[in-house]
Formats: sequence, C-alpha cells, structure tokens
Amino acid sequence: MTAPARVLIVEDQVGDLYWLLDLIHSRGYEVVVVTNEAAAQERLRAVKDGTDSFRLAIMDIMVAVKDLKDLVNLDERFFEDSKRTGIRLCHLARDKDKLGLTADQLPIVCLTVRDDEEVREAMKALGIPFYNKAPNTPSESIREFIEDRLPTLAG
Amino acid sequence: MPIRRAARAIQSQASELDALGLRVVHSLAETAFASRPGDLQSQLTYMAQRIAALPGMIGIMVVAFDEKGEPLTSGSHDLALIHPGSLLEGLLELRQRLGAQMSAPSWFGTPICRSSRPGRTVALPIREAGKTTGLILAAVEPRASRTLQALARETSILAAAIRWCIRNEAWNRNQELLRLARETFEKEEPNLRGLVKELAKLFKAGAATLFLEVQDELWLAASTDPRLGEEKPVFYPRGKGLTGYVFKTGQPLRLSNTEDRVEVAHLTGIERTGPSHPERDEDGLFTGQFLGVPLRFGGKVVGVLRMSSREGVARFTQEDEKALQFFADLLAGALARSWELLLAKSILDSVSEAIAVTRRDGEGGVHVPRLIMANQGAEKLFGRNKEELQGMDARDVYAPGEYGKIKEGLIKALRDATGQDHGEYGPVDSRIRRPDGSVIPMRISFRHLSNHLVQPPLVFTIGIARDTSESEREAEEHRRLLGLLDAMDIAYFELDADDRTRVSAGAEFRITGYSLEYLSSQSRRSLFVNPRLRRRLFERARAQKTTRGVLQMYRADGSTFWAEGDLRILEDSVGRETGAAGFYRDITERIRLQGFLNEEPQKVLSEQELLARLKADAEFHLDYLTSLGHQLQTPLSSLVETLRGLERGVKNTEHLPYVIGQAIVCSRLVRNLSYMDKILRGEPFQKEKVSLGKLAIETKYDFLHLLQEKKIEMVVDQASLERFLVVQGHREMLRQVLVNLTDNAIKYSFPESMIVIGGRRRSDGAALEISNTGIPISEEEREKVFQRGFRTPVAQALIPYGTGLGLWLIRKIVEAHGATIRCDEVIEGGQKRILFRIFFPNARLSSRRYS
Repeated sequence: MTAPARVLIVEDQVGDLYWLLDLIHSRGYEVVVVTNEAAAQERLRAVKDGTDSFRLAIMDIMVAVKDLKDLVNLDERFFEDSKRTGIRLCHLARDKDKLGLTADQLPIVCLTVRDDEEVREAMKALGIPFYNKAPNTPSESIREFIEDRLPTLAG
Repeated sequence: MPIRRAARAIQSQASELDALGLRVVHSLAETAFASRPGDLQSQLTYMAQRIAALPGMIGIMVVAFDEKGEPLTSGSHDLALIHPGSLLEGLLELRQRLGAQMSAPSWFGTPICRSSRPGRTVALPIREAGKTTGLILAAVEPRASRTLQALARETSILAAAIRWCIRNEAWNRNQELLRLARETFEKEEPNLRGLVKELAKLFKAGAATLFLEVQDELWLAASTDPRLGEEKPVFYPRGKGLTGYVFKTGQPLRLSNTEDRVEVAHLTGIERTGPSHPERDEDGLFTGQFLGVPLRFGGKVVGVLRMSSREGVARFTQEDEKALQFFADLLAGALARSWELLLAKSILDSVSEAIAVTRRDGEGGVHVPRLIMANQGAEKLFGRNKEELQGMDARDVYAPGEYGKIKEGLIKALRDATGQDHGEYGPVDSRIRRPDGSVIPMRISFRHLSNHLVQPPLVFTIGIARDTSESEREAEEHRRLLGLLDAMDIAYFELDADDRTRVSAGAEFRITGYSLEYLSSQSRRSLFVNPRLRRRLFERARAQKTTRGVLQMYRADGSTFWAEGDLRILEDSVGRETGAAGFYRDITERIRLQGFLNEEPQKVLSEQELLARLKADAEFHLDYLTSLGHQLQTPLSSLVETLRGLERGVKNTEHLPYVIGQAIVCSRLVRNLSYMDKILRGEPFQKEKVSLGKLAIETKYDFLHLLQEKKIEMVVDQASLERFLVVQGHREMLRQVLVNLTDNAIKYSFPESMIVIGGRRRSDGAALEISNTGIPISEEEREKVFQRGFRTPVAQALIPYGTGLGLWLIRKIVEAHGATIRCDEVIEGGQKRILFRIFFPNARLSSRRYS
C-alpha cells in the first residue's frame, strides 16, 4: 500500500473526541481534522482530484458551516443547514452528479448525536454506516467499526 | 192680559155667531189660553166644568186621547163612566165599548156614563185629521139640544182645547224639569236617588228607575222603589224585557199596561209569558203604565230611564215621552264622565297587557268577584275567550292557592276604595291556571273603583296583568348564565351611578372575597390599586360604550390580583348615565405565566396568544431537551470511551484533564436546569456575600483547557472586581452567569484573541464587564440575544446544537439579584469588541458592608 495511512475526521468538537484520536493514533494512522463544512469540501475535492487520499473519513453530521473567521460575513441562506452539514458532505462525496466517490475511493462512516429519521434515511440511501456518539451498548460503539476497518499498522 | 185680549178678539170675530155659540167658544178659549197649574186631569176637569156651565148641561166628561187614538185620561164634572173597574180601566175599554160610534160625526146617545141627576147621556167624538183626539160625554136636560148643536159645530175648537190641556200640563212639568236639570247637572256628581224621586213626582209615576250600562248590561243605578236591588243587583241584558228592549233599540217605549200581551207584542215583538218577566213580579210591581226612554250618549245607549204606574192616566203621554227623553239625554251627557273608564274598552283592547274587570256580586251575603270584562290580552293570558270569562268567579282563574296569597292585599285596597274613589294593590307576582291545566306566572296590579252612583255602591276591580313566563325564563337564563360565569371563573358586577356595587355575581366572591354587602357599602374605586387607570378605563368606556382592559385590584385579604374584563356604561332611556356593568376574570396566573414566556409583562396577551406561546414554549422545551441531550452526549461518550481505552490498556493519559473538565461542564449543565427551574418559579433564594472577582478566577481555571485549545487569552482584572463587585447573592447562580458568559466568549471568539473581564465603578453602583473579539452581534440582535431560544444566524451556523438559553438564563439570574445586563459593541485599539455589562445598582453599598 503506497497510499498514506491517513484518516479524515470532520468534527468541530474534536476536543470531546480525544479518545478517538488516541485510538486511531494507537493503530498507526495519521489523523487530519477539519472543523467545518467548507474545509471538509476542500478535502473531498482533493480526494476526487487524486491529490489526497484517506483510509477512512469519519464525519459528524452537525459541524459548523464555515470557519469562525469566514462566518462574520456569512450569507444567511446557509444558516438553517448547520444541523445537516454532514449529510450534505456525504452527498457531495457520493452523488454521481457531484464528486461521485465510491466506497473504495473513500470509505465514509458517520458519527452523530442525531439519531432521527432524516439522518437514518439519508445514510441508508447513501449506503454509509453511522454511529451514535453515545451508544446504548459498547458493541454499538464506533470503536468496533474503527478497529475492524483500520488494522493496526506496523511501526 | 194677552189671554183676555185673545179671547176678546175671538169674541169679536164670532160676532156673527149666535149668543150660545159665542158662549161655547168663550168657554173653550178660556180652557185653552188660561195658564193653570196642575196635571192633565185637572186641566181636563177645568174644561169639563166650563162646558158643564153651558145651558142644559148636567154633567160633562172630557176624555183626552193620545196621538195613536188611545184614551189617555179624563176630566169630568158630575159625570162618571159606568164600569166595574177603575176609571182608567173604564177609559181603556172605552173604544171597544163605543166601537164604530167613535167615528160618528155628531152626538149620539150612549149608556156608558151617568150623572148624579137624571138626564139623557150622549157622546161626541172629537176628531182631527181623521184621528180621534178626544171624547166629550154629557148628561143633558131635554132643552140642551141647541147647546149640543153649538158644541158639535165647534169640534175643532174642542180638539184644540184638549190639546192645550195636554200642553199645559207638559209646560208646567217642563218648568219643573228645567229646574231639576239645573240642580242636577250643576253638581259634580249628580244625586241619582234624589233625581229619580223628583222625576217620579213630576211625572206622577208610581216608580222611577234609572239603569246605567256597564259592559253591555243595564245596571240599576237608582230607583224610587225601595224593593229594587234589595236582594240582589238588578240588571237587564240587552234586549231582555221591556227595559232591555229600550236599551237594545234606543227607542222610547210607552205602554198603557205591561200586562197587555197584545199591546206589548204589537209594539215590541216581545211575547210576554208570565210573572217571571223582569218587569213584573207576583206583586204586580211593574204592571201598569210604562215609559222607558234610552239615555243616549256618543251614538250609543248608555242607560235607560224608566217610569211606571202613571197616576190617573191610562198611559204616559207623548209629551211625557218627549220631556223625559230630552231629560234622559241631558242626563246621559252629564253621567258620561262617570263611566268613561269602562267605555274606554276599545283602548284597553289595543294594549298588550291583560286587563280584566271584576264586579263584586252578593250571593247569599257572600261577595263574589265576577269577571265582567276582559280585553284580548286577558283572553290570551287566561286562555279563555270572552264568553267563558264573562261572569266567571275571578278567583277561579288563579292557580290553586294563589288567590289566597293576594287576598289580604286586595281586601285592604278594597277598604281604601270605599273611603276614597279608588284603592290600589300591587304589582304582585302570582300564577294563573289555564283551562288546559298549564300554570302561567303573571305580574298583576289591581285598582278598585267604587261606583257611588249606584246604591248599594258597586265596586269594580280592574286587574292589569302581564304574562311573566318570558321574564321568568329570562331570569332562569340569567341564573344559568351567572352559574356558568361562576363555573368559568368570571365575575360579573353592576354599579349604580354612585359607583356602588349593586350586583355582584358569577365568581366575584370567589375571586375577591368581598361580599355584596361589603361592596355595596362603598365606592368600588377603593378596590383598585391604581384608581387613575380605572378612571381612564371609564373614560374609554364612555367614549366607546364598552371597552376592555386590565387592572390590578385588591382582594379582601389585602393581596392583589390582575383583572381582565370589559366595562359597559349603563344608561337610561334618555341617555343619562345610571351606572356601569362588566365582566372580569382573574388573570394573575396568566400574567405570571406570560412572564415566563416573554419579557413584556406590560402587554397582556389574549388567551389564544398565550396558548400559542405556551404551545411554542412546550415545543421549545422539547427542542431544548434534545439540544441539551446533544450537549451532554459528546462529553459523556468521550468520558466512556476514554475509560474504555484505559481499560484496554491505552497508555496515553495526556487528555485526561480535558475529559475530566468536560465531565464537570456536563454536571454544570445539569445543574443549570435546577437553577433555571427555581428562577422561573420566582422562588426566593438564599443570599450570601459573593465576590465576583473570585468567581471569575475560578471560572477561568474551569475553562483553561478550552482557552488553551483555541489559543485564547482570558484576562481577569481581579483588583477592580474585588473592589467594586462584592455583592449579595447566590454564589452558584452567579457562577453560572460567569460560566455562561465565558463559555459564549470562548465559542464565538476568534482564535488567538483576548477575553477581558473586570469591574467598573459608577456613580450609582458598579458594573461587571466581559468583552471579547469574535463574531459580531448586530445592533438589532443585542437585545434579542437575551430572549429565550434566540440565537443569531451566525451562532447557528457556527454551533449547530446551541440552546439559545444561556443569555436568557443569565438575564433571569441577574434580574433576580436586582441587577441588569446589556450587550454593546465597543471599539478598543481599533478593534470591535462585544461587551456584556452587568450593572449592580447597590454593589458599592454591599461591598462596603461586606468587605
């Protein structure tokens, strides 16, 4: 495997997920963290362009629309959508008329506190697994998924 | 002397006549023209005397006939009819006895009369225009033939003389009638008993009786006959008997003998059947001569004046009739006033109230109030037609037991009525029972009228009643409405013009604790916390008739409440203000509830608005819970997964302090809930001396990891805070203020910027200020950020799961401490900074006291 062993995390409360960083780091992967939709879009386009690649993308459904500095002059029509930024990002990645990235090109897993109909429907349609940040049982934790998908790399 | 002159003129005109003829004419002229007192009999007697003085005459009888050729009466000198009965009976049979001889052109011999001295008896019919107007009977000596011839030649003068005799009598009586009319009609109330007595005397009648019409019946008003009206009131329905006949036809009726069935049937068409007839009884009281004349007024017969048993005359004369008729019509006019009220029936029929007139009848000594009149309204109310009501015992129209309740009042009013003209009773509420068994409530007023014209006096009772079932239904509706108002917690009141409570109903007592007794004893103004606002409400109500408003009122226990209601000015029919009325409800709870929901207690929301807000609030709470859940989930799951990592041997403990810090923040979030609850309920809380400077430092250390993460510097000016901001308050709540403000400042600050927190002294207190550089808050948003649930669009874009509760809660806590908070934008060193300033008005005093 020549591709760099890197994992993309789209999460603006990454401070709450140190355990996730610790887990991935412990398996020998590098982590790239982006904290808003705009930054994530750039990373996805780079994957499409072939200038970037990730073993896995972990996306929070709700992240900030833009960076704090860019939000100062934010257009109001985006505002309502900060609760579904992750869904938009998944569509951007998978939709044929958009980036059309396959699961092989970029495996995606979603992590959210939202466990509602809209999220379930959207993820089912996109074929993207998603995990709740607060699992009912340890087996439902994203930890198992990551341990399965990200084999421990030597060195 | 005019009569002498006339006699001389006749004498000279008759100069060609023989001496005997002249004497005859002279005698008759004296009969005709001499003015003599006395009745017809004495007039005729005088004439008989004059004729008897002529040569060869022994005895003379002059019989006067009426206009129908029937004998009236006679005057005589030494001559009498040979007849077993009375003179009048003899006279009545005269025509039959003389038969065809009554048409004889001259004297004829007849055996029907005799004188005291022997002589031939002859008769001479006096005819005028083909009618018999008189009869001369004479007992004569054999030498009287020339005298008889002379008399026979002068039958027209004899007729005129008889006519004059009748007129003379009428003239005399008319003088007396004139005097009587003057005496009678000059008085306010005619003395009818005296009147009939005089009339009987003048007409030489055995009895004179006056009947007056009352509701289509003739009622005995006065009579000279003491036996009339003794046992029971005498009355004639229209058309019943001879008196009723006069009443019905409005024509006078003259009869020589009421027992004469032929004559009666001939004149009236009435078949007389026996002693049961009202005009007579076993004593023959009303048999004999009869003259009845109608009292006419306003085109209608209002009574009958009746004469009976004329003395010495076979029948009343036409002159009698004319005179009596004239007098009766005068009397009718004079009496009209007295029964005006009863004549106003047509008016009564046009009013909607039920009007019934009863008369008290004596039946075996018991007075029975009988209905004699009812208008249409009464027919409707009593459920019976006029015919049924007529004569009915008035007590029978009442529902059982109802008459007994009003009896006493009626009798008292009746006593008043006998003393004065009238007595009144009522209005009283009573009930009648209709023939169909239904019982109808009514309100009735009584007025007794006593008729002093009648002896014994008649008492009429006029009852004016109104069906009150409608108003009872309304009252029932009213009661139900008030019950409903009570159930709906709505108070109702009515005020009089003096601002005193006249009606207090619905839930008023429950809301205020005031009894009507208390409320009616004083001006209602005193119930209001701000009487000026109430006055304004009244002014508005006057301008718009009715208005709505919210006012604060005192309860009986001294506490206050908010009343929302309407006010209506009451006016009388001419637009004068008579008071006010209104509904209101206690909306204190609503206002408190509203206080939880928005920040404007001045404006009272309508119930619908409030419900809409409550609904929005409930939805908001669900959102809030969801949002809170989101906020808690991440740090908690982070804690769980960190612990699991430790369990699996992950050695990296670098981030442990952060995770622990997050867990602390979580527990704070949960604690937020209980504070919020306390403050929303407005519950009092324990206060202590709190140094905001110390709290600020503690808060800074709580957030150290986040500050480091974002490379944000937090500067706490502890000296200024310690100096100016030691306040009385709830330590943990105030900590919450600082925590929330710091949390916000970190979230929305640019990385590598600075958060500054410090104290500032002001003339009227002290202020805590916290400022940061980050996403701006527009001027319009600076007040809104304190509203519950409000988040600026930029904040929403940046932090998707914020609750919009932080600043709202801060303001609640701040206000609970008597402080205020505002948001401003300041420029420092060319940089725009967001500044939150909490102003404690008495902070310095507190600090002096506690530091």
